[in-house]
Amino acid sequence: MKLITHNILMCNKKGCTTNNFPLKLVATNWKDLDTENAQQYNPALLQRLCEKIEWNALRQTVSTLNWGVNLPEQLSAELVQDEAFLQDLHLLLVKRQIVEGQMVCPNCERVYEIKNGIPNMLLREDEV
Amino acid sequence: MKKISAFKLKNFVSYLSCVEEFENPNVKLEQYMTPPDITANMFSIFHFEEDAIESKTIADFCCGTGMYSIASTYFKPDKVFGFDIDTEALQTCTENIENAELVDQIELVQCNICEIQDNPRFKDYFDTVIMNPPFGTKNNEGIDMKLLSTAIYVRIFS
Repeated sequence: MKLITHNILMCNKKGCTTNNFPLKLVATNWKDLDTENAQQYNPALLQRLCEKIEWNALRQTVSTLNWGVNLPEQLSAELVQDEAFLQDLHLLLVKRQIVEGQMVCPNCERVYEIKNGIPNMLLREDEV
Repeated sequence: MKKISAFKLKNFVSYLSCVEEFENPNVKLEQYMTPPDITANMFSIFHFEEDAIESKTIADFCCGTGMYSIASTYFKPDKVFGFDIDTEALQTCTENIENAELVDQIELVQCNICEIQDNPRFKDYFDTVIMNPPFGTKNNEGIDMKLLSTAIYVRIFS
């Protein structure tokens, strides 16, 4: 799972409808794909992905991860032309794979596990 | 229509030959894999005639072992998201994606696709939805329509 996926997941437990996004992310094991296994740095691709990002959710999540990446508060037209910024995004959206971890709903505290790189969003019958 | 001159269908078929089948197909979930040759023909049409893959964000509903997700990557999409409910299928899918060295491009999520419409983040998110869904022949009548309505929910219509 990369952060772009975390950026679209929210808690869908029955009755949990407010303050259920973004899920609090705890990454216990992650790896960076090396250049052979990852797409090359491609500004046009990152600019298109940027349009789909819920910026505050991504920025907030990155700030809790202690990965040494700091995202600016606002996403601006000048920013998406800035190479250092796009390199950060390349790392976050293309190269860095979260292998194990958890996502916790800020509202109801339901825990969603990430195992082998796959977030499990399945709900139990009594949660639907 | 896109330029087709340098494209060789047989190269595409061999690109897909690394995709492993379901180990123990679950008949209730209607798990059947589309063979590489049919997949290659379909995706050539999606790309050359519909321009639905290149530079697009794609959802693969009921991705199973990842045949369609992996086929999409042949035509340079921005990102592919595979969704499936079944743990074992997703495990095989992960192996297939790792063998094909496509971890950077394909994201997997385990979920019940019928519940996606409860999540407003998914609304109008994807440029293209591809799927070989269950057709509702195994005590799950109507699931095909549910999946179609979910596909319409998540796709951008501009």
